[in-house]
Amino acid sequence: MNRSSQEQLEHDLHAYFDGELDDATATQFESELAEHPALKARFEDLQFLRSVVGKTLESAGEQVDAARFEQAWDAFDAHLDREARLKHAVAEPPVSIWGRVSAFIKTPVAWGVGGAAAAAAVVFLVVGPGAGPSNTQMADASDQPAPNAKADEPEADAAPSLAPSPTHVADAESPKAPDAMTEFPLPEANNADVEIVDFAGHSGRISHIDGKHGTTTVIWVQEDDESVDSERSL
Amino acid sequence: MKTKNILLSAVAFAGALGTASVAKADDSAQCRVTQVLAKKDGDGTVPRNLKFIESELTSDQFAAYKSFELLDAKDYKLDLNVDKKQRMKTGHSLGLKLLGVTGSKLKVNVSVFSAKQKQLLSTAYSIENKGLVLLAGYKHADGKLIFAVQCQKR
Amino acid sequence: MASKRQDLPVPHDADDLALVAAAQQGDRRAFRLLMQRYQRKVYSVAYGFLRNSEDALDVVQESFIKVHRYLGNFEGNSSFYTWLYRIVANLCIDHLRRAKRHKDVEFDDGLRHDGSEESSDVAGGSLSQYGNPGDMLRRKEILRAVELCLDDLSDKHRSVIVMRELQGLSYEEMAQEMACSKGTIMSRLFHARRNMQKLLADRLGAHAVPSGKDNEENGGDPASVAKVMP
Repeated sequence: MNRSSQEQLEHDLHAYFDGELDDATATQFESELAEHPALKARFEDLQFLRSVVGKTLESAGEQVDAARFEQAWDAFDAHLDREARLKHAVAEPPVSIWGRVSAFIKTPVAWGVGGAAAAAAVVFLVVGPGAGPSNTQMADASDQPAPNAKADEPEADAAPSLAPSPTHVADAESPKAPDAMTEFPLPEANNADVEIVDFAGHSGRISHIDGKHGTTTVIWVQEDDESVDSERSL
Repeated sequence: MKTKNILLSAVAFAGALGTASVAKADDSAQCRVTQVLAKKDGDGTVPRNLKFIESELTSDQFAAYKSFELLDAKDYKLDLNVDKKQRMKTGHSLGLKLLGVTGSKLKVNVSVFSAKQKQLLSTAYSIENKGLVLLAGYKHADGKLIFAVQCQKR
Repeated sequence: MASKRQDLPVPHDADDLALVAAAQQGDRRAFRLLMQRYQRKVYSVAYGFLRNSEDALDVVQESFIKVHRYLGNFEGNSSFYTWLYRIVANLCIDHLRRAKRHKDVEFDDGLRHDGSEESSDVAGGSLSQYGNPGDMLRRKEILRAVELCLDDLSDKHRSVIVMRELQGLSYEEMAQEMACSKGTIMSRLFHARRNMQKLLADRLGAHAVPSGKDNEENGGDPASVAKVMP
């Protein structure tokens, strides 16, 4: 048997083993199997391999703690709830102009502007015209259209009318808090002195970010043993 | 004279009270660990619930990551030299221990464990009160986890 | 998926298609029952591909989401389990591509692709001789050896082994998942099995302590080997 027909036989063996041969070819191959004990031995090797590989892989699933699957289900449920909330938020009908005005009136900015305007009006009434810079301020305040004033508010949404309230979307984003989460202050100076670091056998590094909170320390872990010049790729 | 003595006594008493309360605060801290998933696809927006670390997440350090999602957050009440450990929703656990307080600085030990409770990191550092450290690079889903650890005196 | 719920809860032992139908109507409980039937198998497949427990669990979770999202597209032309397996294979292959891991075992010196005689014989004779169904210790050793050999395979070779030997996907289905031709799959599977056999023979052969009884029974004749695993 020359080399290429031997290789063809091997390929046919695999295809036969995997049920990929048509009926006529499969029948023909069966007689080859019966006539060549070495071929039959290789067939049995394939059976052995399938048996041990199948059992090995199945046993991996059997060994997983049920709690890990429960964790996956918890994450799945949270994902569905989040999707449902976002869908609900987007499905809300657009707010009318009166709705927007009403929503704006409820914001602190509107109260501040209104309060300043009211105070200026009182001063004007009591003191009279030409009282000073307040006139200009009042004019400036009253001239400012609502969206610009709103832009001064650091937490303002770009398009608040898409959601009934800004917090609605935030709720959709935030995870379920296990306990009552108390208010935590914003970070201030983040300067840290790292005294000990143990990467537990992985590679890692310490780096720093200079920003508005001072210098923030970042401790990086590299869980995979990937080298920069790795030749490994799929 | 009597009034002066009463005043001096009051000041001393207040000072003693103050010292006592400071001593009590030195013994404990409160920390928050926020778990963030950073992924390489997205539009680069930092969601509102992560605004407190926006400047860090948008720095060059994390330039490769285009979306950030808050996965979990856990609060820790730490007493001196007492280990506390909590499990995050991904299965990772974080252990924290307060090692001491000196002036405005807290000294903390933080350990990160995989879902199989294999230790991935242990570190001890001193940090300003309310300061924040980021622990990054832990594989999860198709992204990396970042733990923001922030502590303040209690 | 429609959000209307069925009036009666679907029974716990309902068949897959009944659970699918209920889940397609928005019954979250039915969906959970359905996926819980297969979650360990899904994990096994994912672990076979990815060789990492955490990654495999991530794929399990991703499969819940993806199946839930696309369940409306399932028309019952194949079994649910086949449809599910293809989704899982797809997720795993995506994972591997993103992780960009490649091992060079397929280009190892001892393993050649030109059909030479060297590669056509598994070292030391038939593999089956290493099995002994009565010996639990030996069985454990074999499974351990298989684990290590799977780790040693390249991602592409391991992928075809898992898809074929565990999932039972056809060559055509495998070709679609790996975005290549059927001919490539056949060749890849051929070489993957060859590599796996050689690795396994090396490992088992290195630790084999053939007893007198084993030698007597097998007598070096591959045709007379016992079926290994019950």
